[in-house]
Order: sequence, then structure tokens, then C-alpha cells
Amino acid sequence: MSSLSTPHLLGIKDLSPEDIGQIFSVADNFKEVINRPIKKVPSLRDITIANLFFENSTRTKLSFELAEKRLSADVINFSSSSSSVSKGETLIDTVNNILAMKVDMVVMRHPKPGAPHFLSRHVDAVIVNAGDGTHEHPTQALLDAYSIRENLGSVSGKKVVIIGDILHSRVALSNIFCLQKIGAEVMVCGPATLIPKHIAELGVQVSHNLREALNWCDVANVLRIQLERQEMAYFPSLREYTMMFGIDKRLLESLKKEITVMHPGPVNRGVEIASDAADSGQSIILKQVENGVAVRMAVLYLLAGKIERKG
Amino acid sequence: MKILISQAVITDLRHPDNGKKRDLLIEGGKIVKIAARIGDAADKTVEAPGLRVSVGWMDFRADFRDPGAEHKENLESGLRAAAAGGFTAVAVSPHTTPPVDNKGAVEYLLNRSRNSITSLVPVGSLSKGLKGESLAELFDMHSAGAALFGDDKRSIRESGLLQRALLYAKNFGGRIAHFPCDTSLVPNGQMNEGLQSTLLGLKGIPAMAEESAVMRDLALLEYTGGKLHLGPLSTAASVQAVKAARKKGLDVTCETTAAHLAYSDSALSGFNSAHKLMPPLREEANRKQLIKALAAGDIQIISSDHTPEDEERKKCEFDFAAFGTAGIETFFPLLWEALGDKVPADRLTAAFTTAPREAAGIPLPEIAEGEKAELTLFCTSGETDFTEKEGTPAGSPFHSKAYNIAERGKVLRGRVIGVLNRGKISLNP
Repeated sequence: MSSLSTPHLLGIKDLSPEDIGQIFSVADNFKEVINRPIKKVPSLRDITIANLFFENSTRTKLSFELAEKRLSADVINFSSSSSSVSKGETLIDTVNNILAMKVDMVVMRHPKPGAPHFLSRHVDAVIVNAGDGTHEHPTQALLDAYSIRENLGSVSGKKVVIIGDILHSRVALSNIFCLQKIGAEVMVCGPATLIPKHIAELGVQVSHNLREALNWCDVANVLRIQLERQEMAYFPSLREYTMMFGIDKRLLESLKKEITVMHPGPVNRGVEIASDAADSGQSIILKQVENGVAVRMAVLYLLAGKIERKG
Repeated sequence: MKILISQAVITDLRHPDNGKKRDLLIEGGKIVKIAARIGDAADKTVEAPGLRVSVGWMDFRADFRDPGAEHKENLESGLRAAAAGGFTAVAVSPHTTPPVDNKGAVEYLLNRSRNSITSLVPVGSLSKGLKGESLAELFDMHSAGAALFGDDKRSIRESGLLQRALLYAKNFGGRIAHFPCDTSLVPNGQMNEGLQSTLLGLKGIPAMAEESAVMRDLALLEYTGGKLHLGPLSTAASVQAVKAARKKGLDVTCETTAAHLAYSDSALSGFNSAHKLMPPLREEANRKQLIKALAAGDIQIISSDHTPEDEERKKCEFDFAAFGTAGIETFFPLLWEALGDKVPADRLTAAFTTAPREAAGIPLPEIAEGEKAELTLFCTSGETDFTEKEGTPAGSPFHSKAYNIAERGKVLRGRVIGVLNRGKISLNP
């Protein structure tokens, strides 16, 4: 079994362009598999995967669970909307308790940046980061890039703008790393209060003008406004946000060319994107969801190559 | 007991024999003779290749957690660690539980350290209960022996309170020590705001949060004409602002820590909480500027900012990890390794011998016949091994109880040989 250059998937930062290429080509195979009448392969038989979600998630959790089941892994789920720390148990203890049940892989979402890195240093299991606070969300970035590749033929040389709350977004950061590694140009666009001050040092362009950004790009990746992640008001009202940064069909049609529209979900319809744009022919939002399963299958399959079955 | 310090290079900018090798004879806690060679018989002779002697070092900022969190450190372990680090005096943080905001707390510190080789220099809190609301009884604490007044790392938000403190301390010549940070600019900040924080997705603490507070504090100082100490400072621009104020004639001193001279924010890559400090480590270019400012004398004081923590408060998710490193024992080798030969030993030691005592208004020890022997013996050659040797109870190179010693396991340049103070001698193995 071929495998990745890293033992865990903690972030896109640790992946090489070859790793990303390998994930995409394995995902191509799995995409074919999940469109067959019998959608299940035995690749991860006898591998136990724990999905630990210390933060609310619907689609990422479902997508991982489906990917695991399609690979015939044994799956256990643990969800806690508030971090276990609030109950006085440390993260290491929580995870070690679960690992004592002989789990091989941990898929973890956690509200704190670096939590999966911390875990990877202290517990003996393969760790897959399913989103760590405002840091990274590597599988989302991989499925986004995979969807661009599928829709436009390649990622290299394409211009991608990420729109919205960049400051609180792990999706933005992982997307920037991933797209740059495979040759795309990246711009971020949003209100100045929601753009990290030093983001340009990552080699991305910065814009506060939505029309200008959309006219520049081939692909617009529209982020969800994460009201729950904002400890203070970075803009006065949703209404005003929509006035400046909301995308609707009329705006898309007034552009110089037809662009591809993406959204990692869940969509706040009428806030960052209007229904007529989200459901238009330019939108690949639901394809992203389908590709998410194939890409996550590829990641799990490639990482499982490192696992020695525990006796 | 007669102690002979043999062929030690006098390292003291004020001393007429600075840079020269001398023998020192100590008897009854006093320096009785200094000469090129002393032939007298002694009960104990201290010699080492490249030995240096300076007046005893003073750590301007350390937290010994006593009372309140003695499992992290207490006065005994903290003072033993300080002596091992080469310090004969330590200014301890008032941020204890309960805080040092009254005469009784000052007396507790002085009484509990009366018999140790390293003396404590109590710092009284500026506000009652460290709450930043109303002035503590500064004069009463001053009369009991508190040398400085400040709320440790709790920056004073209300300008009026700091103004009144600066004015009130003028009544008895006291100095206010303030940590400049506009906390409204750093909601949940975890590290320096810059490329590294962006890469790690961590909330940043902008340099401007410190620099804007420094500007405010200097304006208050100019208005009040009091005495101010600012620290620990982390940015070169803050130091430049203090330099300009000193040039204008304001009575202000500033301080940075050994860690800020030794590390930059890239040390936090991979979410390494050992280097999560307050103020945060800044970019490498800034670190180099701090070293230049130190060499130019624009940073007067270097402290260890010893902040002991237990395992639970450091071995956890980065956001939950406590700020600080416990560096009182690794202070000199860390500095000497980081600075290379950019700052000569006599100028460097001034930042933890004369400068902190001048700022705190306490007497300066002298290397002279007839004076009390308050001395630190050290070497700029050789190295110190901070590796834990397994299997032996005495295997730990540390006396501190702290878990969070960032230099654990490192081998660094330079050695602390020992200290003499209060008629006692303590030599490192």
C-alpha cells in the first residue's frame, strides 16, 4: 500500500504537492467506487476509527463516518459540544480512555488550534484533523481543490478568491496552503476587521471589494459567516455584511465571465450567498459534498497504510 | 572560615581592576584582601578555568508562588534555584494568593528568607488585591521593606490610577513598576501577531498593544515627574521610546527577559507551549534589535521572569496553556549562549547587578576590601548540561519545582560556579 509522507493528517502545511496528487488520484478511484451499485470496499477491515467531535458538526462528521463505513472500518463516535476540559478531564485522558479500547485512528474536531498536534505527540494512534479551531481543516481544503480540479480540469494557474470571515476560518487557511502548493493563485476578500493583518505574508492578495475580487477570479469560495466564533462585533449587522459581501445571481451575471461558486457549508442563505446564486448552474456546492466522501476515503486509506494492527 | 577565590577576573564596570585577574580572601562574610596573588592558607579555595567574579546578581522579576500555589514553587525551592542560577537577590512578584498588598505580606517574605543565602526583595502591589481599582498602602509596605510597586503582569487599564500611583510614590521616592499592555487590543491573544500566528491560526498579540501602552505610560510619567520602570518589554520600538524619554530626562528604566533575547516566535511552531510567554516572543529581526539595544545600554535590566507552572498548566491544548517559563536556573547560560560575544561580560552583568539595584533603590554591593562579600562566581567558558540523568534521585539538574523549564535537556555555554552572601557560600556541583 502506498502512503503519505506524514504519519498523521494534522494540516495541509505538512503535505507535499506529491501527497496531494496521490490523495487526488486515490480519490478518483473511490469516487468511481461510491457511484457503483455496491459502494463498499474491504480496504480498512479490522481497523477501528474513533470520530471525536468536541465541537458541533453535521456534515463533516457524516462525511467521515460514511467514508469510514464505505471502507469497511469499525467506527465509534464521541461527541461533546463543550470541550471535555470543562468537565475537568484533560484531552489526553479522554482520548487515552478511548484508545484503551484498541482504536487505530482518531478523527478529531476540536475548538482549539493545535489540539490534534498536541494529541499526536502524546497518544499512540493515527490522527486526522477534522478542524482545529481557527487553524486548519485539511480534508475540507483537499475536497475543495479536488472539486476545482474536477470542474475546471486542473488547479494549477487558476485564480481562486476566498470570501468572508478569514480571521476565524480554518477553511481559509487550509485552502490557501493547499491551493498554493498545487499552483493556484489565491486572493482573500472580506471586511478589513475579518482579515488577519499578516495574511499577505502568506503570498495571497487581499481585497475589500467584492466585485473587483469576483472579476479577477475563476473560482469564488464563499465562507460561512461564523457568528458563533466571533467574541465581539467585527461588523455592525448581518444586513450590512450582505450589502457589501453578499453574492447573488444578479452580481454573478454582471461579471465579465462565468465563474465557479463554492461554499463549504452550511450555507447561511441570504447572508453570504443568496439562494438564486447557491442553486445556480455555476454552483458546485453539492458536488463538493459528494467529493468530500471520496477524498476522506482516500486520506483514511493512505494513512491506514502506516498502521500495524493492534494485538 | 577563610575562603580563597583564586585568580578570578573581576567583572564589574565600576571597578578599577575590571578585567584583571585577582585573588580574593573572604573571612566572616567579608572581603578581607584583594591582590594579584594571595599566599595565605584558606579553609576552602575556589578555582576554575576562566573564573570570573562579579557582585552578586539580582533577578528583577521572579514569581515564587508562595503563598498560594506552593505546589508549583515555594520560597525554599525558589531561593535554592535562585542561588544555583547565580542570584544573591531576587525581586519577587506580588502576584501571590493572597497578593502582596499589605505590610504583613511584605514581612512574611522577609521573615521567611532571612536565613537563605539569597535575599528577597519584596515588590508591593500597586492596587489593593491587584484589582487595578484603588491604591494599596504603598508607604506602609515601603516602610516594611518593599522596594518597588506594581501589579506584576496585570497592566493598569485606568490611566488615572497609574497617574496617582506615580504621584503618590514621590512622597517617599518609590518607583512604580508597570507592565505595559493595552489588553483591549489582545482579546484571547496567544502569541506574537505575525506570520507565525497566522500560520498557526492562533490569536495574535500585536506589538502595538505594548507600544501604545508604553507611550501612554511615558506621557503619565512626564506629567507626574515620578519614577517608573517598564517591563518586561518585548519590542525594540518600546525600548526606543524609553530611550527617548530618558534622553528627555525622565526617570524611567526598562527591562527585557533572557528568553526574549534568546528566542523568537518561530520557537512556537508546532504549537510548542514551552515558549508561550507574556509578553510574547517576537520576530527574529526584533530579537536582534533587542540585543543591539542591550549592547548600547538602552535596555538597563535583564530578568529571568521565572514563572513556574505545573504539568497540568503546560501539557495541554495551546490556548489553555499558561504563559511563562521557569528560567531562573538557566538564566546565564541561556543568555550567554544566545548573545555569543555580542555583549561583553562586564556590560552584560551590569544588567543584573547594578541596574536592578539602582532601579529598586537598594544598596549596591562592592568588590572591595572591608566590604560584605555579596559575590557571584561564574565562567564564560565551558558549558552547563541541563539534561536530566535518569535513575538517580539527584539526577535532576534543577532545584525549582517547575515543570515548565524550556531549557530542560539542553547544553548551554557558560557556567555559574556559585554565590557568596550573608556569610554563606553555595557552590554548584
